[in-house]
Amino acid sequence: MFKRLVLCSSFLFLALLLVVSATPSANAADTIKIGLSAPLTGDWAEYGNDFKRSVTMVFDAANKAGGIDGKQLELVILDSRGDPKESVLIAEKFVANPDIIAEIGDFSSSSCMAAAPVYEKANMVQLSPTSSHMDFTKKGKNMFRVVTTQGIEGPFNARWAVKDLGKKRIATVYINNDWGVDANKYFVEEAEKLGAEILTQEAFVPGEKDFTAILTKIKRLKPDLVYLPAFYADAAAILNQAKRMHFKTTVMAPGSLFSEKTIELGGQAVEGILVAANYFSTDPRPAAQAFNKAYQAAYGKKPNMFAALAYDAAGLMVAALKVPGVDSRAKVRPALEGLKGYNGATGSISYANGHDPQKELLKITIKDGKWVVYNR
Amino acid sequence: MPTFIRTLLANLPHIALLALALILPAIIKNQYHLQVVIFIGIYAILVLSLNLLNGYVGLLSIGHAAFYGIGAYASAKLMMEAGLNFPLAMSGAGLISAGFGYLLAKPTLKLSGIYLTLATLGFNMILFLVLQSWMRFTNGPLGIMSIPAPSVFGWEITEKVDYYYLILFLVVMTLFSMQRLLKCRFGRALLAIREDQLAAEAMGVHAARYKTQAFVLAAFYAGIAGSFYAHFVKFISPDSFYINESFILLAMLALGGQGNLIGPVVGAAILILVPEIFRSLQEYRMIVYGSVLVIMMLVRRQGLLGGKAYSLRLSYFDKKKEKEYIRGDKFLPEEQG
Repeated sequence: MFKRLVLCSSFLFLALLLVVSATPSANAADTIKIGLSAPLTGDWAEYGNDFKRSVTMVFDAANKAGGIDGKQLELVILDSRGDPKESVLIAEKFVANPDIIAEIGDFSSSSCMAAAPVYEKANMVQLSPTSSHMDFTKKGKNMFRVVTTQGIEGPFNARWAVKDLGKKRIATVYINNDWGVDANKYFVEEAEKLGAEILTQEAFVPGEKDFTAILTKIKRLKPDLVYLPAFYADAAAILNQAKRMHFKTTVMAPGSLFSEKTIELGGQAVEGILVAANYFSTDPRPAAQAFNKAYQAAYGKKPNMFAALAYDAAGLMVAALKVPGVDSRAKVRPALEGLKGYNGATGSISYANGHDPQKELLKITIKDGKWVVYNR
Repeated sequence: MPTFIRTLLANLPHIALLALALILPAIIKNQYHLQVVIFIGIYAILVLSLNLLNGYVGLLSIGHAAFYGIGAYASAKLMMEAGLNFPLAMSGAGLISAGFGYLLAKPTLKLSGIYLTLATLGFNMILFLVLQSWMRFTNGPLGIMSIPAPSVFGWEITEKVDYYYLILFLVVMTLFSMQRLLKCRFGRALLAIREDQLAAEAMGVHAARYKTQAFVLAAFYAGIAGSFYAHFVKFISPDSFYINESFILLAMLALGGQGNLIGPVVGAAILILVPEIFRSLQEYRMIVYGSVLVIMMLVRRQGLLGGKAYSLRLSYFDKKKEKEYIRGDKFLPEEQG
């Protein structure tokens, strides 16, 4: 009896969900549809939801301001779970729907790159806010990104460390994923070119908790500076363990560490770390301030770098669609390439000389438990 | 009635099913739907190979994605660097994967129960770390890109439809070869070991050898599936072969039911379809996925088609008619009326 009850009610429930999920959307003729592929569940759910919040916010604002040529923007959001296989399926789904004319996403480089051939074949723009793999934009002529690549960030940091700060003995500790490997490589190449000595390059596996072996080795080498391409949870753990070992040195990291969480988890141990950020919440530039205000008004919390990058991606998309005559897949790419000096929350973006934006980075540091602009 | 017609009639359901599968691309015009069907094919092979261990021998392997990954990397490497053609690369991938299966099976099959299970889990974790860290060979977390599209004896496989027919061929071959294998002494020996290893050994079944053979075979099939995946998605990175993948395979097997050849295919189809159908629910769709599994465990613990033998009998090959039955899986509680 119980079994039958469970069975019946669950089937009813599933059927109901099916109806809900299959409900057709508004009249297609008056809308422009854009796909968003993001990891709303799984390990990167937090970042995927940042994407969703920012992009929804930009599209809502554009719709309130009258839409594009009187047409409303409609966002089709699908969850990729951060799985490359799923992002390929999403790409097929977007491409099979003739109403969708461009795509924003995905979060991780592997998801973006697995899906890239599908978008390229359909001649549909794939605008990723965060894919930082150097080869992503080489996968085709429709691949764009908003984040600066490690090919730019790494050398920028190397010049800062070696030329400006005069550090000559450098050790690196990096996370062994697609992003960390590139981040380490481009920093090391430039630093060596500038005459610094790279004492050691230590990789750690994502999810590692105990860094004492790596730290003991590095402490013995007595570096002037440690370069730390990692995310905040790992970086905070590394620096806390270093502090316990009484190992003190200058620490520099890419923009990935800019987050309130770094301070929350790192406490005293993260004081004074040097970061070159894509985006900084008290950035005085007006576009960044406008974004901060809008985001806090809409969601009541401070945005992070990923939200800012997604905000710019959505902004770029809206700007490209506003170019007169952009009404089909093939026309979005030239429109994006034609945007000159788009003023985003993460700096000025233009795709005229390639699909990797060249943005100025902001030097920031942590002082008295707060992120502040770095000045000597 | 001539025997020829009688065999034809007996095989009618299979023939009808195969015919439907053959004309499916004509019915499904949407490329996305075809892609979903192709993924069902890949997972059907994987779950069938896992079923060989979990369902037929009663070894609980929870690291099956390792062999899937070995197959994918081996095939990509063989084709891109050794310059082999696709059929050779695919068979090579299967053989290399089978080789690893042997290396893992040889020392670990002396273990039993939970210890063997842990060894398979450990193997998967180690493989993931090796793929992740061996920069020079596997390109580490950056993965291998631009894997060439397959071509089989002049048949260039570029479109979804071509891939569909290739995976259909592979699934049919897997089902057919497994069916033949399980019908002969080998299959009966596996069942005997699963039901009672001591009794089987007393009857002259060399348990350790059969278990190793089953392990090697399962690894071979998984390697073939991995090879197809690599040339289909054209980009592989270690993320795709993490233990999560093994658990998904286990869930499919548990849902479909183990110990026969139909259950795994049905399980794979359902667990690929459910998240796809509910994709527009965004973050809530995984709740549906989870509840399908929970409901299954509440209502039908042995899986949808578990605990029974379904005939995939091809009368042409099986002249003798015999009733086969399998006692319930010994790991599952007896069904209460």
